[in-house]
Amino acid sequence: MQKLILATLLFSSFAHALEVEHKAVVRVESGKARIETVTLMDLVSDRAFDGEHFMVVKGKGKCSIIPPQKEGEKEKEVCVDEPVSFDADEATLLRASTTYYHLTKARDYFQNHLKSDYVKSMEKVVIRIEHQNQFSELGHFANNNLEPQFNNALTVPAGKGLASRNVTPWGLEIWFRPVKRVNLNDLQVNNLQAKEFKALLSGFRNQIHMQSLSRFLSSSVTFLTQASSGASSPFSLDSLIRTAGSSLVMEAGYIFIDPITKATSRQWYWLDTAMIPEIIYHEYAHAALSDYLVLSHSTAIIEGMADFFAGQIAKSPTLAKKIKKYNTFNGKDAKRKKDYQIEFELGEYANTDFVFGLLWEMKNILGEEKGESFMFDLRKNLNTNSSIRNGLVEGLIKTCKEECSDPFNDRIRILKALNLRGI
Amino acid sequence: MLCYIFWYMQFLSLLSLFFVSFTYAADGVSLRNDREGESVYALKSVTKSITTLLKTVSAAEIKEALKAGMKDTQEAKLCSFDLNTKIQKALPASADYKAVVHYLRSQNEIDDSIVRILIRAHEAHTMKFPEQEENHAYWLPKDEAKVTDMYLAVESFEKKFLAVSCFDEAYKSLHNEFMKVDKKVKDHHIEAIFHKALVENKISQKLFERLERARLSEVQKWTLSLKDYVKKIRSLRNQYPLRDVSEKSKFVTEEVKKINLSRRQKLLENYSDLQIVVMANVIKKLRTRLDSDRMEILVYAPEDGTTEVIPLNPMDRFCFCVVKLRDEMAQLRLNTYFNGRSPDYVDLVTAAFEIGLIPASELDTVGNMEEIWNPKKTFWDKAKVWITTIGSVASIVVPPPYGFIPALAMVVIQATSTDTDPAASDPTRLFKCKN
Repeated sequence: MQKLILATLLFSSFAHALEVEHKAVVRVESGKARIETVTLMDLVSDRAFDGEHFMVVKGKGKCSIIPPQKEGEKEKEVCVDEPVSFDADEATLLRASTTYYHLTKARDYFQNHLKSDYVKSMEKVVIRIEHQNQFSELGHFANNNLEPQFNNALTVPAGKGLASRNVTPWGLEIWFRPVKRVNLNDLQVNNLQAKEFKALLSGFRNQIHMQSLSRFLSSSVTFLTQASSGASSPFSLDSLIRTAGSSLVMEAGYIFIDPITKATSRQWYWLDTAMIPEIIYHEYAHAALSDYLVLSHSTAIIEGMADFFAGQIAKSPTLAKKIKKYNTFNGKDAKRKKDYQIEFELGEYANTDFVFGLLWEMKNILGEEKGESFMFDLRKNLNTNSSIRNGLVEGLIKTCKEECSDPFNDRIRILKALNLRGI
Repeated sequence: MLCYIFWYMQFLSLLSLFFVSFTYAADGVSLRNDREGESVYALKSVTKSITTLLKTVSAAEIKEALKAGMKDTQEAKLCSFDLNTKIQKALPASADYKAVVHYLRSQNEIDDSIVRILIRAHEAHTMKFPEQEENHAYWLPKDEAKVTDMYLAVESFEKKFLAVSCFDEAYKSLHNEFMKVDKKVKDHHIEAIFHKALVENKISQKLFERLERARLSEVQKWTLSLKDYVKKIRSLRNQYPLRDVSEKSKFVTEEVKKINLSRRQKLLENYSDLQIVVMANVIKKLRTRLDSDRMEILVYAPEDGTTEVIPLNPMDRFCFCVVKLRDEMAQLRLNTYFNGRSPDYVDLVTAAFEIGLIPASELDTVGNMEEIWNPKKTFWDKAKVWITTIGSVASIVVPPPYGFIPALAMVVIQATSTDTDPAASDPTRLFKCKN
């Protein structure tokens, strides 16, 4: 009995969660990002970023090449997850502490605020920073010679591994890609915003042409019918230049708008996902919601849901904004009122902020507190392949019937709001 | 022992009679408010007058006065002028009668419609005559035969009209008689007829004053009398007994602009009980449809007898409800009970609440659904119309190089305009809420 007590005491002294202070990127009250000293909680090591719930690993971990054992066999790369040490270089240290700190915050939100049993029972999550490999459902890491990935982050589901290839099973992981400066010409972005601007410019161009034509016609009629009035001839060179000049300038601007925009726009873009708190929350939200929203592929629904909870954890309707040092792309804004377009159902538009804004609006309709738990329970009535127009709306209605304090009224309000968005 | 029991029984019956005598609904006539929340007349000035009144007259006295006024009154003899007189008799002469009526409303002894009826009658009964010129002229109709007929009607007013109906109804009947004689009879003609009857002692000074006050108050235009109101409410309550008489709503007492009536007052003034029931049932159907989880379109194939089932998604279901509602509202115009009138949406919702088909908690939400197809225009929406109109002219008139400014303003306005129905051009939507 005495030995048992001693063993328990010894074990508990090792299992006691450590708290260590490190610098991390955090949001201050003004919403700007700063590097400040924070306390990292729940660590189990006093030398590395290894905690009860998260382990931060750089890339694939510590990898070694095993030479072929038999003839015909190829050399193998074996990687072991080794947490980032506190002795790492400054940049890695900052990334590791930032991700660890914000992931802990996100976990606390889901476990203690939303009372998620799924998160509570979740195994330790491996966090990979500066990790370039693509994901492989079978092999965990895609081959090193496949196109390396940058300026992104993703949450990968657990895998069974592939014993025949010595691929060991892995748990749920979150990967943060390295940052890389990319030239504007190499970027492939959806051009919805550009289309909107071009439509606006087209309208202005038409107005100017109509205006020039109207002025020319009215001055012509005046000149021809009242020749003695002394009005200047609209057919004179001076008048023609003045009348047509604005149209010509406008037309030139319209034709050359794309090169002009390119010339005046920012040339280099980058996104350091491991340094942006809201992106960290977003990725953890994917993990926390994966009991119902399976992480098979990117869709508007699962991205929108993750955005929503990222906004809740950050207590802000904007994500990844005011952080130009680490993000030169547009962030997301829940208050940006966008009307529904059928393109939003497509995977390539999964990362627009339409669903984010919609869910944020729904939360405001239902009330801050009730709205939050409502959205969390909404996941039970959705799946990864739910569409916005059918699956999400049905999910909202069904969840409201189950949870709203005034189901009839709240459903009408939800439907009215959705109708105004053009869904 | 037997004596004791007999005495006890007598005491009990006396006690029950004692309580019954306090209920003014001697004939089941109740004026109690059972639908309205805060009164449309709940203004600071009214509250102040009530406070002043209660300094001189107690609340119990006022309630007793109403009971006294209603005592032994049957529905057929329920007259606003008479009720006012009876209530005033039971109160000190100095009591501000309007404040009395408002106080009764604040205690839900009566509702806003009755407040309007009683105060209107009181004003018609007590108004001061306007000062007349010394040589004020009276203009009788030119046709003497018509003058005679009208004169005879006035002469027989008390026996023919007043003896069988309330004063306001009697005056309306008299006015109708005048209209039958001469469709183009003017107000100054009627004034002259009354004056002639007084001068020739065919009517008393008191009756002349009553008739004159009624003429000046345009009693002939009053649409709802106290008797009609009580009859209407009784009919509605008999057909649709309220499940919760304590349920009240502020929605129905909100003022309708430009007509100075509350929504409920407007409903009861303008529609009969049958019309109210028909209107309410439109909302009942709307509510059932909105609550539905499933709607399908069935297409029956004539060749092979199969049926294609097209389920509607939630937004299509919602907009179908709205579209169908608007169709049914328009169809009311064709209903013979409505004589070509098409009640507005708020009237329908108010009617549904009146007979208890929707609860007060849903009134605001259902009532505001009209914004879907008839959105409120903000100041900026209205201003945009003007700016666009002026901008179109200015873009031609303003000389270059400044001519682009109005054109730019118009483009900005077009870009910032919020489309109230973004789905209007979306072909994937089966039903659009705003056609």
